[in-house]
Amino acid sequence: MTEHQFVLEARGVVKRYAAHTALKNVSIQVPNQSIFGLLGPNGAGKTSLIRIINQITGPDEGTIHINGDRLAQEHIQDIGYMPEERGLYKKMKVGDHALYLAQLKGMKKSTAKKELLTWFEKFDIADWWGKKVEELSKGMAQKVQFITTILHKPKLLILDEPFSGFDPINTKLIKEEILKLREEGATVILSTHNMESVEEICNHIALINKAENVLSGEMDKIKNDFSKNDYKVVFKGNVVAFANSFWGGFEMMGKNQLSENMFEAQIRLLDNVKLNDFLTGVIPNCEIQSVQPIVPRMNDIFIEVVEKAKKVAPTDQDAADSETASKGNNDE
Amino acid sequence: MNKTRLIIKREYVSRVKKKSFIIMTLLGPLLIAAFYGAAIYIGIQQSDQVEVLVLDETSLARNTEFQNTDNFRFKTYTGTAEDLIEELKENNDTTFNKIGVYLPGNITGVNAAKIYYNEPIGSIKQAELRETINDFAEKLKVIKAGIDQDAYATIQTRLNISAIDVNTNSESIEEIKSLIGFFFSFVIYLFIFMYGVQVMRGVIEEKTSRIIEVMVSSVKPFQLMMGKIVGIAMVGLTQFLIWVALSSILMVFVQGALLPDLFDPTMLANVDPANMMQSQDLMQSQELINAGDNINATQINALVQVLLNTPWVLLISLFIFYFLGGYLLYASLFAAVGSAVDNESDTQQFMIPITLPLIFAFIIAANALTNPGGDALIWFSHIPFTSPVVMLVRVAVGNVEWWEILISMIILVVTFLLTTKIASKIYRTGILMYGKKPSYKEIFKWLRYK
Repeated sequence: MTEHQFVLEARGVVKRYAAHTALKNVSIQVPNQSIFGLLGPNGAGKTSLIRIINQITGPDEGTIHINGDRLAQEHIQDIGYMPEERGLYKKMKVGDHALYLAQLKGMKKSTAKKELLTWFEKFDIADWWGKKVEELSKGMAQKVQFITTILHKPKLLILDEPFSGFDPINTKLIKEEILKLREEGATVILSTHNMESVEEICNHIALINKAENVLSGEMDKIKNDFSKNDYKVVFKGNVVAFANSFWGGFEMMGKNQLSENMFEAQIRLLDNVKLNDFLTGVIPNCEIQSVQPIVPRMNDIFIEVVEKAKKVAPTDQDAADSETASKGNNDE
Repeated sequence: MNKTRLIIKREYVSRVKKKSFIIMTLLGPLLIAAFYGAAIYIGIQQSDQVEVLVLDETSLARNTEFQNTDNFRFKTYTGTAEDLIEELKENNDTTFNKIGVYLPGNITGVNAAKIYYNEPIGSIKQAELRETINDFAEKLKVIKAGIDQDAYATIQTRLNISAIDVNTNSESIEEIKSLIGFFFSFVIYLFIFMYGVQVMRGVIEEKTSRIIEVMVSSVKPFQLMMGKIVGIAMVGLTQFLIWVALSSILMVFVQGALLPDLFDPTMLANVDPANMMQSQDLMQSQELINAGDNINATQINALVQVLLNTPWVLLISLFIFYFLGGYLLYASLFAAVGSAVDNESDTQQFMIPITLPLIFAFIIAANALTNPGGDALIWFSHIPFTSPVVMLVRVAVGNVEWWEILISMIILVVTFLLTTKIASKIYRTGILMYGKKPSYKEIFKWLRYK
């Protein structure tokens, strides 16, 4: 298979249910070997999109492409999906269960068993092979689920809230494995509300809000776009003197006293003012210890985008609501 | 295809390994054999000879009137009725039963006699004893009326009347036949219900344990549903075949132990119809000889005849077909119900339209016991929702043409293909829906989702 720039592409996907539209013309592009954060508030339509990619449901409009090819039945083998709502058959033995899931993904029993044993060793759950699933703790069940998701070496991994239910040590273990899989050539779509993890391991994101893709691209670029020209300044001296040295073009967003005469201030440069202009102004009045640019966190970007959509687009949303309402009526 | 096989295997193995399945499978035939054995045993128990003390107040009678039989040894008792009662009370020998017969002097006038007992005797023996006393009283009357005893003996008539089915030219005992058919109907009804509910439970379990989304990312929902349905069907067949095998072994064993004469090997060898007629004739002549005092054996002989005449191979093959057809028809509907709800307590509302036709079919089949040739039976043996339960009664009774069976089969197959298609659409959407219980209206909408 020739490597395509985008391992996964959704083009204008629309999914309607009786009472609402889950996806309105959503397009995303997931670059090869990226860790792609699929973000959005609850009920935004992420799961609907993931289900369409997994061919659990079909789109009403639009297409999905894997490496440029239209999504088809055989792609199931290329995708590993760990849903948010994940469970196992309680009465089955752990090893048998893992084998069963691996075989359903098209693996041979003997290969599957060999690889499973390696993974079970690695994740420290080898002793549980012969036990019943219902005896597993939540964390251990999650490990089994993670292993069965990645065992068949899928090109595309879709992990929905992969860290929920894990303690920090196991979270670290899973993160390392995800990064390792990426290095080995896999592409990972990560759907999560845990913005710290997104920050830590994702390099691309798409933010779905109210059934639409409202923000997507490379994470560094997005952060740059959302950067407010904010800096954190640590200085020795008098706060009043520091503040007085401002004239137009600067704004103090907040301050902290670190010790008797040591302070930390968050400042924002307005318009086209340069950092140098600011420094020239304050240097005579206090002793600068450090200056650091403040990069916006994904958490803030998430909140900003979603909140803005709430405020800015009431008319859009009203229109959308009345549209779905009338659609609902038609269905009745 | 390969994946469906994997699913079938898992569904099958996980159920067959369950303790409850193993216990039910082994216990079922034991229970059947126990009932069967108990029925025979009750009929033939206390075959030891009973001593009958006859207190005869009629002057005409002599002790020789009573011929000793296998069951009774008669002895004249002299004394009063009170003495007889006392003697019976004092008899504590449990191994040798003693009963008393009191024949009052004016027996022909009052038309009454008494049997006294300490330990009760079996109903068949009692019937024999009553018959003997009756004959005694009759003879007394004949003598009193001055009729020639030999002439009377020739007048006394006990006909052996057989009912012959003109289609098969064989003696038919419809009631027993329809009872056999009803037994099969009952098992089909039971299996459809039992295993249909298992399908539903399985689907609900997959939903509540949240395995479902993991599964449907690997296999199509239709494969998952059919895998479950077929796997459970195989569990049902396994259970049935084990039951048939174990029951036949146990029944032969029980019969052999309780009725050694009846089931000697030569009789079993005479199964084919031609020989059957001969042995029937033989039995009939024997019956004439023993007329009157061998009701027990006659009844069992009749039962044995029916059992040997029953087309078991046809019945069992049709059972397998109708069980599978009926089960497939209902199981997909049960699966759809399971997919629509989150827990079993929510199923009630959706179960009613499924269980009603099934229960209705069972009632029709039960009615066939009294009226095996009814018109309703012909209709309901073609309607696919009732035919699996109803048809086997008709087949067992034997009043059904082969093309009727064929038409009923075709209708059943077409219908189950149709319901499976509809059910799979509901299932596909239902399994991914959590939260509130859907209404019928919503489920109807699911049929149109992509």
